[in-house]
Amino acid sequence: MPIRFDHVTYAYPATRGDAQPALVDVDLTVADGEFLGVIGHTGSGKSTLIQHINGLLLPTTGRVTVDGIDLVDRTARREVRRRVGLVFQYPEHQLFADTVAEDVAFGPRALGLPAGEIEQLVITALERVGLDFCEVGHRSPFELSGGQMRRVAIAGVLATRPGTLVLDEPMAGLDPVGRGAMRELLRTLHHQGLTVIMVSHDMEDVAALADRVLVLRNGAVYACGTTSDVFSHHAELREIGLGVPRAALFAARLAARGVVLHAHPLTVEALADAIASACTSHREVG
Amino acid sequence: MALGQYHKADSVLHRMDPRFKLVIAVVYMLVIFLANDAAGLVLVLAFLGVAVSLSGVPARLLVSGLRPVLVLVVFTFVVNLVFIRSGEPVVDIGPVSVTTGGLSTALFMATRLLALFVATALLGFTTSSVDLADGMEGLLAPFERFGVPAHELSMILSIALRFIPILTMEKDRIMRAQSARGADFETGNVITRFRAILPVLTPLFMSAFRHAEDLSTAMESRCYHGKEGRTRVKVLRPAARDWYAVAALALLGAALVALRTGAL
Repeated sequence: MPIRFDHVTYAYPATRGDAQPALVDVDLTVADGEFLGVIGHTGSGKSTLIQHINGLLLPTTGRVTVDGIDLVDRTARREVRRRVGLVFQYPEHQLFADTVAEDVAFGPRALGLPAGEIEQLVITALERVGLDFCEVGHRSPFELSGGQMRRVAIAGVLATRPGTLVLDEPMAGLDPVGRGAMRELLRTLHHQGLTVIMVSHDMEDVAALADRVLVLRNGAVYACGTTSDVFSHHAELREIGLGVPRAALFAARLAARGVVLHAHPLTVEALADAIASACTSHREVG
Repeated sequence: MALGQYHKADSVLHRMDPRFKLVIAVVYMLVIFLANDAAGLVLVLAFLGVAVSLSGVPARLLVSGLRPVLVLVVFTFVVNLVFIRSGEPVVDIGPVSVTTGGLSTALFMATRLLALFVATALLGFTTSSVDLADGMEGLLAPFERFGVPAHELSMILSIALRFIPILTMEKDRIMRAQSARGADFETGNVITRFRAILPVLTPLFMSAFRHAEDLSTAMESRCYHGKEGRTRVKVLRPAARDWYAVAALALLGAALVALRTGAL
């Protein structure tokens, strides 16, 4: 289901007369099965952008369509909310039910799905985030660990079987182990065919996961391209207060000293491979 | 309602001693009810008008702050208009006849109510939550000898006020998150709507507790221990303007009493 932003501008209802729009003329297409990383400085419009994808916010001018469905239509919006799962920052803070199973069932139930179907959806959704229904299903979500709670919250969004998953800073507040596990989870979900849109301020996470990166600045699209392409523009990114992955930086420093790698490594593993192959070819030449 | 929506500016009203402002606002609200004829009402509104013009609060902001209570004012007006049947009939609207008695009572009640709300809003707009808490503490201080924990009460008040906007934001966030999962807050009857609130209320309570825990840790790690030996950055000292305000209010009260007793 392609997601289209057609010259979208959004201004929050002016409270004190400052009508600086949060999004300015954003034109964007997200193809099926893509993993899009969204980066930008605080206040660059990342959160505003993703809330347009399922109609929580409606464009002031321009149009957002999901699968060709215009989100202005109220009944269509409900359908789009089923197709696009939105996971907010710290999603574990939205858990409320007595048991994990109840909480995950909230979405399907709100959509009015039959009870028999719901249980299966809950089991599958928990399984997809790596939790066992029999083990955690009957427990209170509040007695789980932070990482597990976040998984439950994501399962709650997956329960309606959306084709697109939108996540706002899914790694925020996780320890390195939890972070790695979350990366693995998102990678798996993406490989299962989900379109994933992830907002993150961590360039390592974006580099490790995304196919394409959207850079926002002051609400406008600053750059949009393949991950390696975007991260090859170190100076420009630095200028707008963003970093580049460590591996890319390392490769750039090597290049500055005359060691040119033939690939654009974005992760430490890819960097190691690139250096290894550069050494090999160097030896062969020598 | 209007509390906590402070409008930062530098006006006479902003600079007033919060203790005086609090007392004057409360006394003014009582004085409003002394006015029982047109002349009294004009005096009451004139006092308020002067206060508003001195406050530096833009009229637009004041009006938008009052929008939620406007419904109540209009409701009061209509109910009085329709149900009071004293005096001469003025006009018939279908089965309802409006009488002079109804009209004047309706006008009185609505105006008094409006004055009440404007006064409260003005207090909120010109007094920061810190000042408000300081003022309350100052007013309660004499009662400390009777065991009233003045400092603690004002600390509770200022924390509560400080957290209104935070919890409002949190509520919006949770509602957005739940509606992204398919929750519907816009349609349905009273019962389904009430049920829709639960998935918002529980996370909101959790977040309030989380904030409380963070805050208490932060206060403890800064060695906060209540009133004992605390000094203030801003010592409250009444200035000439505070006494002028008291005098103005006293004059208003005297004039209203005089009007009532027929001395004027």
